[in-house]
Amino acid sequence: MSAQQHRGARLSTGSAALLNRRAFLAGAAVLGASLATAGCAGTYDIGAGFSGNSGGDNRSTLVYWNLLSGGDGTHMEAMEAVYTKEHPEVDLQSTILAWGAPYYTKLSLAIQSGSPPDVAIMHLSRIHQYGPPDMLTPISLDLLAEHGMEPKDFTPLAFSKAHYNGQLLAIPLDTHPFVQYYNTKVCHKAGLLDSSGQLPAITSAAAMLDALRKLKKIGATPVVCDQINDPATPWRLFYTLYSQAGGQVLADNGNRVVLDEALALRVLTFIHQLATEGLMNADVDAGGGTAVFQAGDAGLYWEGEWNVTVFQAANMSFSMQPFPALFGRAAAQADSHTFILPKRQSADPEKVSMVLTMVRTLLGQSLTWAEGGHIPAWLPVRDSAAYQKLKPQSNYESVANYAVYDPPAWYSGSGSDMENYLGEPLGSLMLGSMSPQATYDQMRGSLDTLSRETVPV
Amino acid sequence: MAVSAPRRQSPGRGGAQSARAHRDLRSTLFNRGVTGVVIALALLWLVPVAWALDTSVKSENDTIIIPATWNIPHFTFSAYGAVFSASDLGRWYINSAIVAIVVTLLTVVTASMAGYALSRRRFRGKAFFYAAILAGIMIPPQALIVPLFREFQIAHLINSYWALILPQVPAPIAVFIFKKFFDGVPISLEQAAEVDGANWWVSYRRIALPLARPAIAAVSIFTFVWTWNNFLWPFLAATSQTMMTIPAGLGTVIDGVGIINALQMSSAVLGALPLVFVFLLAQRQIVEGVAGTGLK
Amino acid sequence: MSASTAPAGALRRATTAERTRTQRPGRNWGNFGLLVPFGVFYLLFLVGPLVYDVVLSFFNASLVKGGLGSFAGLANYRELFGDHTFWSAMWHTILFTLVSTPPLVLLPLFFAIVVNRIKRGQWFFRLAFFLPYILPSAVIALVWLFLYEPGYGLIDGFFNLIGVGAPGWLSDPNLSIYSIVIVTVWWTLGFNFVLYLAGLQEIPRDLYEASALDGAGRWKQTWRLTIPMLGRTTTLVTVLQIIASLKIFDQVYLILQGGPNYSSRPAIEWIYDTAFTSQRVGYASAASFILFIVILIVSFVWLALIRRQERGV
Repeated sequence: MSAQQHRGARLSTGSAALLNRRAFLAGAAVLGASLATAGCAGTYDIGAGFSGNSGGDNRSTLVYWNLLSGGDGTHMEAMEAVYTKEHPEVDLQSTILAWGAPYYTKLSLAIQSGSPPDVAIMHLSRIHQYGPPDMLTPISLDLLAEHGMEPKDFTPLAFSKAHYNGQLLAIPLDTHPFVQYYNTKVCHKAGLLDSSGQLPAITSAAAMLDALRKLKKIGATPVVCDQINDPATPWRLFYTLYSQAGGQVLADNGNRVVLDEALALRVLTFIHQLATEGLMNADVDAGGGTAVFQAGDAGLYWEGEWNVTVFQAANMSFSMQPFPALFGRAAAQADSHTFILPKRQSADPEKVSMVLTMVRTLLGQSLTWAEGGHIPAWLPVRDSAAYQKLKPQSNYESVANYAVYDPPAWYSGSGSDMENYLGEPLGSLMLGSMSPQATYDQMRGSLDTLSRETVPV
Repeated sequence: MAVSAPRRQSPGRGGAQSARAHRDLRSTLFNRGVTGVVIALALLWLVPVAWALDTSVKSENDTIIIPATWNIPHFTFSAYGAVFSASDLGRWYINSAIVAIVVTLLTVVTASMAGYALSRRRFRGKAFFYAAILAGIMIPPQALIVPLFREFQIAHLINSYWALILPQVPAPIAVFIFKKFFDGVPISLEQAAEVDGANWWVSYRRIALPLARPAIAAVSIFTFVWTWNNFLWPFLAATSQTMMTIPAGLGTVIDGVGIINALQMSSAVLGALPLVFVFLLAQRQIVEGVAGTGLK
Repeated sequence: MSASTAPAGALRRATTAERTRTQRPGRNWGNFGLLVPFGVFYLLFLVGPLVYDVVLSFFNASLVKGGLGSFAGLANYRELFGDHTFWSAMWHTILFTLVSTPPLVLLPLFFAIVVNRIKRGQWFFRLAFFLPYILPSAVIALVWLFLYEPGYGLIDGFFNLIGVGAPGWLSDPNLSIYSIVIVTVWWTLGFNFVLYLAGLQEIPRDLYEASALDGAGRWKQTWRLTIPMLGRTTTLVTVLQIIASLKIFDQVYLILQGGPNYSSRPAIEWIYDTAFTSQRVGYASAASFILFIVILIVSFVWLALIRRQERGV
């Protein structure tokens, strides 16, 4: 027989055996799957998978989307548990989706396609994207009051920003700012702590450089701040410092770019100096930054406040404080998690009421939420003794009053184009591999392009 | 590897034989060396997987030790437990299985019918259809995600199994493989089995399918693997965790707060397990099947 | 494939005439019907969307607003030609293809030739090289992100062990494409390896025996006999590899997100970002179309080369 026929025959016998085995495997898989479904019919509803039903049309289900994973996710689940215990007749289906652009894209698409979730988490900065095209259900103050919530119960700044065109479109859950963590042991060794063992507020760029140099002298990583695979953190660092210097980025809802070159270069030069002088380790991603600080190698750590439970679980000697005002006034970049009611094709007052009841219950659990590091927007909890006793979380609660949110524009906000376009060159700056001027030029160029694009919302 | 021993030299026949002996020895050493290099590289190839396994049984704090070490100070399966409670992995397994099996079935059926028609049956415009199908091989599927998304949006089928299954069924390469295979089947086999004047359906079912076992095996295997591992489309089309397939679901595990290296590695191991299991069972056949697709 | 010249009763391939001889004319619709199921899927989910893509490219379509949006004519294409971020992305795709194709064609060839000679234990090499291929991209990303991590990553640890400073795999813009090339070579080499192994097993033993009798050593055999006989396989591997590389997306998106500072973002990720993050669907569709044309041109060039090779062989 020729080589090809030989091979054909060989394949046939091999494949005949294979086909038998594959048939067996396939059969086993299907059998296993059907057994699993039969056994867990409630949990694994395959049928729903074929009907494309998002479940929100049902009277007794509440579909809730959020992007809270990790420690946040655990806290949210605990809060949800309180609600489901109080309302066993409601099937609360909460879905956790990945943080970032895909979440907002999916949310937009779901609203547009007419079957959105009943309630979802939205970053407050995104209201300029969801407000204009009429994608959110407005909440009247009367309705709010009917469910036990009043404007005076919320952080004024966050609450005022939750409006668009005079209507309330979101209910704030918290404010989560960019903060400074510090390792008390390391800072003590560098002689930075005061008599009560706390780090006194650093009030100028020069003083910060001084403190960092002292940390470097004792062999610690002076400050760690991540940027690998994370354009959000470089943006937050820049925007915090730039706002402290009094600068604005955008005007006219994002149609005009007012980035001030001189002010920006002041800030960019400072960041660049941190890199070139070896005072900042930015060669880490988010996990890496946490690891460096947790290992006790760093004096300071600049990040959002949500890592507090990680370090507490590691039994670290650390504390937290508002990001120091290095360029004049006090300011820190922040955003807020809010609850939104996506607009449905037909209004459903009963559903709205269910949602507001759930929101009120969750707000009542704000202490649990605060344990995760966030500053509660629900003042009855924030002003309570229990929260004040929560250390180090309550150290920075004042930031909620002077936080700076991302400049309003359809292309800005958490996980947005602007954050990515600006965060990328800023990340390179933080490594010292890009000059302040080049960074500014790239940022300016991106903003110019964005501001001139046809608005797709 | 056969190695010829250097020959004993008898006086007078020296030159040529010693030269060959020399060459044999050098060639043997060279062969041994080259084989050694490949063995070392194969071991190197296994390192990432081994490292993932090693990390997955460490406690989280041991995963950030600098410099990295293979040591496991505190052996624990807690990361594996955490995966199941932190994510919907069980559901993802089921979704992946359903989607992959259904897509494979539909692909094999439709592509074998088309391949058979293009190879053996006569009808108008055959050449045109064949060319049109071949052109489809070059379409990058990622470029189609927006129109596809809109299609399923209009049909209200986003986040359903239909959305995950249907777009993955048309595989021009499968048609190509079936056609090439049928082209190569000896005519007398077909003649022997054929009932004169049989219509297209009988012809397909009674003759083509039984003959096509090797091609069916090959197409089934790589369709199953590619569908199982498809990331972008399921990532977009599944808007809730309960509808995600394993790759799409794992894409959400990459993101997370805190030190989660052991968790990520154990999700990776669990995510890879089903296919690895299948692969280990049917290793030789899978490899033969894949190879069978490429050669004529 | 040519029909052999064996006697009539023996196994041989059908000629076209013979293939269709037994079919009655007028049965065409049934035959055509075999094509229909595939055709339906093909039209609905491959051709239809492609046509829709082209249509969208002439409008200012938005992801979050239904319909086509305002008519833009050729404005999207004009903007695309001046958009340096898009051409950077195209360049990244092409650079990636140029850098990754040689190792993915030559290394598996080398491995296959060596492994093919090993009498026992071939299963080990098949396992080692092919196992990565069946892993999903999300698993690859998780594992390699962890390997590349500065500080506690294994690769960093290795460099420290040999006393050399580790390169910034994830943070150096000049290195980012190569970081992805390394991952891709590790991930997909097994597929080509297997294709070569099968091709090697096709080569008749007697050819080797004959050349050994002629006094050819191993090296000469490999060079003069094995490699030329693998010509067809090599061409196939190369074409498949190039087309696959032009479509790269998964690992870059999951590991680097196109960074640092967009230095690794390939064309398809540009399209994805533009459509799904910037929500400019019309603009992204124009780019999709351009990419499709590029892939088409490359494929035609290679198909022509294969044709010429087949005729020459």
